[in-house]
Amino acid sequence: MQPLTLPGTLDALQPIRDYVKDLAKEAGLDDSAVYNLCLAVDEIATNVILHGYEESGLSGDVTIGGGVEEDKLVVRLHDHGKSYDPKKHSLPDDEALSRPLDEREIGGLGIALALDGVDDLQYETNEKGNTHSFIVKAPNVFCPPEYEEGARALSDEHRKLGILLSISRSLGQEIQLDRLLTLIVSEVTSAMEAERSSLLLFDPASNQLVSKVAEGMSTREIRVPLGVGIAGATAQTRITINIPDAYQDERFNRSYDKASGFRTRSILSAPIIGQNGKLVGVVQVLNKINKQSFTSDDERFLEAICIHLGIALERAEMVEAYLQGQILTKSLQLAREIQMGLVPKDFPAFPNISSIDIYAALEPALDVGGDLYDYFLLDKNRICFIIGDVSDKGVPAALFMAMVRTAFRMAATGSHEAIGPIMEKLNDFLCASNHSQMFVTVFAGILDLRTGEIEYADGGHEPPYIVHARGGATMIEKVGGIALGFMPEYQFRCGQIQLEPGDSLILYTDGITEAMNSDRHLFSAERIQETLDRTATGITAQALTKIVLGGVAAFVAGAHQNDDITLLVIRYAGN
Amino acid sequence: MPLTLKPSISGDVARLEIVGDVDGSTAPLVRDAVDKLLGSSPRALVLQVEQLGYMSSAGLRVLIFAKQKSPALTIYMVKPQPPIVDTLKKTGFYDGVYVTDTEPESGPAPV
Repeated sequence: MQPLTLPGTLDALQPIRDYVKDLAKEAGLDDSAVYNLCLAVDEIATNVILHGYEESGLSGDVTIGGGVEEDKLVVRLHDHGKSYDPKKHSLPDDEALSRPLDEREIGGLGIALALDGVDDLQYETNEKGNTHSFIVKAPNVFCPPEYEEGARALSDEHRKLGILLSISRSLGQEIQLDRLLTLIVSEVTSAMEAERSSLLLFDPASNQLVSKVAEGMSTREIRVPLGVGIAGATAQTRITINIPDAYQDERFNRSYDKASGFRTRSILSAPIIGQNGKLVGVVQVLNKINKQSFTSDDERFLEAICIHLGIALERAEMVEAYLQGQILTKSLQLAREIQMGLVPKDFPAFPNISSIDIYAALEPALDVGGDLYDYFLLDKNRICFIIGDVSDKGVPAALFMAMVRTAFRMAATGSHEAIGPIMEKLNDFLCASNHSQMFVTVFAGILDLRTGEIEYADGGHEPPYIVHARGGATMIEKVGGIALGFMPEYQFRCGQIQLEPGDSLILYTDGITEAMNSDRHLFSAERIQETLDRTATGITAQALTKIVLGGVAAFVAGAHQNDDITLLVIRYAGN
Repeated sequence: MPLTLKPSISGDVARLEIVGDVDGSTAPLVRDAVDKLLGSSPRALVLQVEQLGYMSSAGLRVLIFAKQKSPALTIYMVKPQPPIVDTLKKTGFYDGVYVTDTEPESGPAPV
């Protein structure tokens, strides 16, 4: 409340009382304490006005203000009249108070009431004026002696509730797990009035407790199996353990004291249980300050704190998991950008070469599979092409795929050799540079535009189809070969395919054959065959691509796409 | 709370109903009213204080004034609020007045 300044006349008494009444009620004083405080201030204000101002021939203002300071309500009355210290006034004694009214002294009653109405009345005078400070303990004023013990207990409960609220608030604001752990330890030490605390988190994978933060200890991670030591016993039994003298308890491991130079006396060890009864960890508090050991009240209080710790820790773990998810999403986006940035997407691929019509599509799965395709002219008469599928997923697969594509181009364009030696060069390079044990299935070939003849090599890839100009489709009985990247110096056998004018070569990855519908059925090579068998003759590479992808899409009918879907169609128009 | 005073005299009993607060600024009004009532030399002064919300030492001084002016006067306080009773007890006035819950009839004062 803002201080209230009034002219120093008796008319100020009522507004002063109203002000004090509001202030006292706001501070939580009971009716009796409110009345007594009003009476105290009123009596002194009356003296200030009558004696300090009027009788001294002075005039001026009185200002009333105040508020709760720590556990007290302090009301201040300020004036500029003649200095008048109430405590220096003689008060009526018991004898005077017991006299008949007609023998009573007029003076002294007001000050007696004022002093009686507050816990303390202080007076200060200086060049700025006089200030009376009325001090009342809030809110448990005038507590009868028999209730004092109860009041102390209540006050302790109040303090603990305040600490719990403060812990809950500060833990709630911290979502970064590492910082939260440090914060927990310092909050618990302070709240429990202990010398040190430590926090161990439960690792379900190893069934061990892992020390995360221990005040006064090195940052070395300590692992404690469940059931071992005091922390391990706490975790296993999920019961708070209160040890008054650590050195008398055989479970206590003295080596920690030896290592840190700290002397553990008393230990309070409580389990942190999360939602659904899941064990989150154990918190240990060491050495109750100024006391021999922890009390049963301390046990209950630490258990109450542990409820908040459980919530805060589980929440922080969830946030971390979410952020990891965000990182994963970003990394997948990056992988997709790498992948899509490397495959050619401009069609028609060779607008100036009428004998060839190439179209391709790559539909990355959400978690990116590492498919690739590429084609380029080796010379004016020969086109080199490749389709591949890297074994892994995500960014590593995308980077490996980029390496495959670059190495293939280098191997192919650096020489005019046949596809076999190109594949061998590629394989040897991948084997030499492959520290992450990835591999890639590849089908690569060189098409001679003059003859329609393809020389190919297979690295464990799906068998291609030929869609014939006359109608119908045939799966290539390819010569076998192994995937690239794990067996150096492998000799790839080469095979030949003859394309007639109007024939199309269909290359694809297993994302098509293994596309799955909601009944968990695969699209399979048979459906590729059926789809291709039904296509009209004479259609473009793009139209063929769309028919196959359309067939896959109709089959899976919106079911989740697990792998990249890649299709490369090379239609030979002939000379 | 503004002060309202309702004085009346019935036989040898003077009555004053006090509604509101009695403090340093309003006590002189009460004192004047009591002074006028004492002019009829009543045997008893009955202060009807059920609606007396507040009384400081200025109010107590009115009682001293009345007793000093008429030492034989019996003062009744009818239905005072607990904080007022508290003030009377703290200052020893509780023994000097008759605190009652019922208004005394005209007649001899209780001994």
